[in-house]
Amino acid sequence: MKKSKIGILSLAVVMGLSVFATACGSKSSGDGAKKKSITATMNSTFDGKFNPGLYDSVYDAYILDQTFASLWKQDEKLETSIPDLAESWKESEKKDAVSIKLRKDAKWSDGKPLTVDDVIFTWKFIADKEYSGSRFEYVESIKGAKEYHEGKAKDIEGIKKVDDYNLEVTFEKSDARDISTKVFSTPMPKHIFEGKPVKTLENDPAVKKAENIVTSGPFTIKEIKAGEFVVLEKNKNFYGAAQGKPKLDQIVWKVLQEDVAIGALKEGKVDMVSRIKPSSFETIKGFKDVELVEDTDLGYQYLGFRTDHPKLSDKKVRRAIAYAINREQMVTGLLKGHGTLLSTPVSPKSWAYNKDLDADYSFDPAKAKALLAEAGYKDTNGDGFVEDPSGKPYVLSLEFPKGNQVREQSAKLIREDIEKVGIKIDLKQPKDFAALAETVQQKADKTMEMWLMGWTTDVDPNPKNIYGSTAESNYYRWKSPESDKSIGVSMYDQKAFTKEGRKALIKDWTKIFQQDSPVVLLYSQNIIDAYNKRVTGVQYDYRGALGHPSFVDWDVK
Amino acid sequence: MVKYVTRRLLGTIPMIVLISIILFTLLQLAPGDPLAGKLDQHADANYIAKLKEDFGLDKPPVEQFFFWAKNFVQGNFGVSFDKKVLVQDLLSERIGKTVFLGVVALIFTYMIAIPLGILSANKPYSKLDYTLTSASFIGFSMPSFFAGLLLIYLFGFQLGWFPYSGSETEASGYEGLEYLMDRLHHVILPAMTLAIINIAQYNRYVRASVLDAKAQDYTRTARSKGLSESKVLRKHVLRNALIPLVTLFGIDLGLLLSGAIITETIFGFPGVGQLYIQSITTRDYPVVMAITMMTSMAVLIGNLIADILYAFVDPRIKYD
Amino acid sequence: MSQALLQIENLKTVFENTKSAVTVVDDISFSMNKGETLALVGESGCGKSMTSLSIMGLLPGTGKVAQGKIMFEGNDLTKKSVEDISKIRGNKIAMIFQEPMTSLNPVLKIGDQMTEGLILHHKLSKKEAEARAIERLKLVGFARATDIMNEYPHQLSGGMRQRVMIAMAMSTDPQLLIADEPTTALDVTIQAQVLELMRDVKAEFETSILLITHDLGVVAEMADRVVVMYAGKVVEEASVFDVFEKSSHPYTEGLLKSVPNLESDQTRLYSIRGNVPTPEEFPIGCRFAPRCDKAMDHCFDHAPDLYRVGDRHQVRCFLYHPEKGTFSHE
Ligand SMILES: Nc1ncnc2c1ncn2[C@@H]1O[C@H](COP(=O)(O)OP(=O)(O)OP(=O)(O)O)[C@@H](O)[C@H]1O
Ligand code: SF4
Ligand SMILES: [Mg+2]
Repeated sequence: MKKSKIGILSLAVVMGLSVFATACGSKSSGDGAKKKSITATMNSTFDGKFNPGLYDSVYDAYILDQTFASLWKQDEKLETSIPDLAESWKESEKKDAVSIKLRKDAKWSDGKPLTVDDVIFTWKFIADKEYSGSRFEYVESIKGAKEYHEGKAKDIEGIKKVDDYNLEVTFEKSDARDISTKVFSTPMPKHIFEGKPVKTLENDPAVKKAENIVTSGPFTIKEIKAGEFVVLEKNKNFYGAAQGKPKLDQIVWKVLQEDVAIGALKEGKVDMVSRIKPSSFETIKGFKDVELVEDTDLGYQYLGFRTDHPKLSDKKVRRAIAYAINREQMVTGLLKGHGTLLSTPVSPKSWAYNKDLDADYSFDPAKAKALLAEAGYKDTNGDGFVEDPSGKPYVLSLEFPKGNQVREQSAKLIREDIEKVGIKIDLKQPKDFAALAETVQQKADKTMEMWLMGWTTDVDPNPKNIYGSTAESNYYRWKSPESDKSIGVSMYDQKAFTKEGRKALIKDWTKIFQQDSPVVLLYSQNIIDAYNKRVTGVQYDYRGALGHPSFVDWDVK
Repeated sequence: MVKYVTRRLLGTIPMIVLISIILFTLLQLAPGDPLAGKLDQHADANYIAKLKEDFGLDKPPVEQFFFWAKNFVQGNFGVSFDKKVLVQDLLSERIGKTVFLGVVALIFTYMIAIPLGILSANKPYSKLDYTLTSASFIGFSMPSFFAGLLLIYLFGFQLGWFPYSGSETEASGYEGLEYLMDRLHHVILPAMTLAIINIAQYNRYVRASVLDAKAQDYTRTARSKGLSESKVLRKHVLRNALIPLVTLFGIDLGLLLSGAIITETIFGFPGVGQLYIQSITTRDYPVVMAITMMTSMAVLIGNLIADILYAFVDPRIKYD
Repeated sequence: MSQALLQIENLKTVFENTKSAVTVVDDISFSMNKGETLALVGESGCGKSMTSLSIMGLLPGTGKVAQGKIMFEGNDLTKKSVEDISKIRGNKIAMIFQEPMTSLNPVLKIGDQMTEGLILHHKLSKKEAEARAIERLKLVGFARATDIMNEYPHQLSGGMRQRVMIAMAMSTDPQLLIADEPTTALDVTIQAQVLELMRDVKAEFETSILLITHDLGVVAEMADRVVVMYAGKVVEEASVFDVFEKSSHPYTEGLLKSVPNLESDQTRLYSIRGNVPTPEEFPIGCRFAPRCDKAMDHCFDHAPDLYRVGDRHQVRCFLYHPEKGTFSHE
C-alpha cells in the first residue's frame, strides 16, 4: 500500500515537472519574434569590464569591438588603417606628427556628440599616473606622455586641440609604425568619466552596468549577466545608423562550453560559435545549414631557449634543434591541417611577411646532426646520445604549461624529434600556466632551459617588445646588438617610412633572428568559427568573423 | 540552547582563524604568481611593479596576511588580482545563483532519493531493488559533464522542455513571478545534473538506514502490536531512519556555497564554482581566499544547524 | 480437559540463506491451557525466542515456519493472512521482548507507544486510550504515570522500560502473554518486582503466560508446567512439581544442579560440561550425547523420541525407552 503511494508521488512529480516545462517552454519563445536577433557564443566568461582603456580579457574585447567605434580600423588586406571615427589624418613627412580630423556626425549612445575632447580625455586617462590598466604603451610615443605619466607635467605636451573636431599630435621621435600602434584609438566618453577617480574606475557602474555604459559603436549594451550573457542592441545614435547600419537589432552573446555550443549550433539554437577546437572541425562539417570558416591566427606557438644558459648559448645547438623538429607533423597530425607552419615571428597574415624566408627553417635532421657535430657535440660513449664538447653527458630539460591540448600533445613529439638527432631530453610534467609563467619571467631563474609557450602578435610587426635585448618579455635573454640595431632601423629610419622599405628592413631583422634562433617557431593554430547560414553578410579574416567589422552588415534571412 | 549555540559559534572562531592561516600559507607556497599569468608583450615592468604595490604583494607575507585578515573581519574581501574589481562585487552576483542551484538540487535529491531508498528497502534484494541499485551505481559513477550533456541533449535539444543553458532568458523583460518562473525553469537541468550523483548516494544511504531501522527491536515491538506494515514504516521506521540524514544536510548546506564547477560550466550557469576554478588557475588569491573562507564557514555553520536540527528531531539529544 | 488455548504441533522453524537452511526449532509440540503459565527453559541458543517469535509471526530476517501448526483458539496461525494475524497480535496475543533497553521506539513518547494498540484494536479514542494507558502504567507501579506518558524511553531506566513493555503488552487484555526472559536484563530487586507484577496481572485478568527463561528459580516461582528445550528440540515436558521432584532427563538434571542452592554448601557451582552446539553442528544421535554423563554408545547414532514417563510428563532420552534394557550403559 505504501509502495503505491510512493509510486504515485514520483509519478506526480515527473508529470508536474513536464507540465511546468511545457508551460514555460511555450512562453520563452513568444517575445522578440519580430526582432532581428542572433545569438553568438564565447567559450569562457567575459570579465565584464566594458571599457576600452580597462579591459583585459579577449572576451570583453569581443563586446567592445561591437560597441565602441575607433578612430580608424584595419583595411581588408590588413595593410593599413582606414577611416572610422577619424574622417582623415595626415602624418608629417618625418612621421613625427599627425593631424587628425574627426567626423562630425559621431555621437555617443546617449546622444552627446563625440569630439576631440573625448579623444584627449582618453589619452590622458591612459597616461595618468594612477591608471591601473596596461595600455600606457599605446600613448607612450606621444611627446610628453612619459613626463605626464610620471607626474612631472600637468599636461601632455604633444597633444594640441585645434577645435572640437581637429587635433594635432606630436611624437617623441620619428616612428615608422602604423598610426594604429602609435596612438590609442578607442575613445571613452569624457562626459561620463570626467572627475571620477582613475585608480578604481574598474568598479564604476559606467564600466560594468549595462544601463550606465555609454558607447559609440554600432551597438549598445542592453543587459549583462555576469558569467552568463551580454545582450547588445542596435545603437540608434550610431553615426552609421542613418545609412541603415547595423542591420541586426540585437546580438546575444552567451558564455557556453564548447561541446554544448556546438550542439546548440546544430539545433539552430545559437547562430555563431567562435574559436572552435580543430578536433571539432569534422563534426561541424556535417551540420546542415552551418558555414565553417577558418583563417591563420596572428599568434604563434614556440619553443623558447634560455640563450644565456651554458648548455644553450651556442646558436649552432639552437639551430640544430630547430632543424630537428618536424613541425609539419604537428600541423597535419595534431592540428589536423587547421594550422600553418611558421618560420618567422611575423605572421603570414601581416603585410610585412616574407614568404621566401621559410626555406631556411625546414625540417632537416641530417643538417641538425651536422650542426651538432660542428659544435663539438658527439656521442663519445655510444649510448645513442651526444655528449657535450668536454665529453660530459648532455641533457636538456623541456617544460610546458597545462591548458592547451595541442601544445601538451606536441611536447612529446618534440622530445622524440630532438632525441632522434641525439640530444637527450628531460621532459618535465606540465605545470599550471601561472606557475610556469612565473619561472619563465623570473630574471634570476637558472633552472629553465627550454619551454613551450605562445604569443599573440600585431598586424603591424614590432619585434622590439619581445626580442629587444632589454624588453621585459625577452624571456630568452637574447642579447644581440645586431638585432637591436636592426629593429631600431625598421622602426625609426627614414627608409622605413614606406611600406616596402619597412618590409625589407623587417626581413633583414628576421634573418638575424633565424640565424640566432632564440626560439624555435612551431606553428600557428587556425582560428575556426562556424555560423548558421541564416546569418548573412559575414566576412572572415584573422580576427575571426566576430572580431571583423563586417558585423555591421550582418543580417538574418 | 542559546548558551550552546553561542558556545559553538565562539568555538568556530579559532577554527576559522586556523583555516585562514593554513589557506594563506598554502597559497603562498603554491607555485605561480598572480601577475605572472599576465604575459603580455605590451605590459612593461613598471606596470607589473605598480600592480604589485597596489595589491600589497611587495610586502612580506605575514604583513600581507594581517592586512587581509583586518579587511576580511570588516567585511572587505579585497580586490581581485586578475580582474582588479572588488571581490564582493564578483561574489554577490554569483552566490545567489549558486545557492539557488544548490537548494533546488537538494530538493530534487530528497524528493527522489528518499522515496526510492524506501522502495528499495521495502523489498530488499527484489528485482526493483536491484534495478534501483544498478541505476544508483550508474548515476554515481557518471561524470557530471556526461550527465549534464545527456540532460541537455534530451530535455534541452530533443524534447525542448527546458533551456539548455544559462540561469535566465536573455533580454526577456520578465518581472515578478514570471521572472521567478523563468529562473526556476532554467535551474532544473543543472540542478538535476547535480542531484544525480547525490541521489545515488542518498538512495543507498536511505536504503541502508531504513533496512537497519526495520531490523531494530522497536520495529518488532511495533509489529507485535498488530500495526499494519505501512503504519510501522511511517511511524516507527522512517522517523528513526531519516534522522541521520540531518547530518548529511549540514554538510550539504556548506557544500552548496562552494558551487558545482563542472555543472556550472556546462550549463553556462554563472555561480561561484565557475569563478572559483578560474581564480585558482589565475592565482587570484583574494577571490580564492574569499570563496574558501565562505565555504569553510558555511560548512561549520551548516554543521551547527545540523546539530541543532538533530536536537529537534531526536529526543535523545539535548544541548545546554 | 478443556480445549487448549495454544497448541503447537510439530513446529519447525528454519533460516534459509542462499547456500543452506538452518533448523533452529526442530519439530516441537506442546500445548497450553487457559490461565496456565508454561515455562520454556533451556540454555542460551536452544531456540526459545525463535519458538515464541514463530508464534507471533515475527521471525527476523529469512526465518520461516517450515512445517507444523500453531493452533490458537482452534485456528492455525500459520495459515492466516498478514492482515488476520495483525488482528490477533497485540490484541489477543501480546509479547514482552527479551531486550527491554531497545524494544521501545527511541523517538516516540511513551504515551504514543502505549496507546497505539488500544486505538487500533479496541477502537478507543485518543483520550480513552490515554486513560487506559495511564491506568495500566499505574498497575505496573508507576506512581507518576501521567508524566511517564510524556517521556521518551531514554529518560527511563531498564527496569522502568520493561515495566512499560509489560503495561503495554497487558493494555489490551490479551489471552496469551509471551514473556521472553522478562527479567534477565534487570537487577535482582527489580526482577522480583516484575515477577510479582506479572503474577498479579495474571491473577487479575486470567491471562495465560508463556514464560521464557533459563532461570529455574523463576520457573519454580511462576510456572504451572515446564517445557525444557535443548538444541531446537523439546527434551522434557512436565509439571513444575515433576521437574523439581522427579526430573528425568539428564539435561534437566544438569540444569537443576547448576542452580545455586542456599541449602547445600557447595563451594563450586556445577555446570554442564561442554558447549551448546550451534544449529549447523547438531549431532546426529541424541543431541545432548556429547555433553551427557549418562550417554551410551547407542545415543551417539540414534536420536531418541519423547517417551512418556508419567501423567503429562514426557522425556526425550533412551534411558526412558520402554525397552531400555536393550542398550548398554557405560
Ligand atoms: N536471524 C537469524 N538467522 C539465523 N539464525 C538465527 C537468527 N536468530 C537466531 N538464530 C539462531 O537460532 C538459534 C536459536 O536462537 P534463539 O534466539 O531462539 O535462542 P534462545 O533460546 O532464545 O537463546 P537466549 O537465551 O540467548 O535468548 C540460535 O542458534 C541462533 O544462532
Ligand atoms: S539419550 Fe543418551 S545421551 Fe541423550 S540424554 Fe539420554 S542418556 Fe544422555
Ligand atoms: Mg532468546
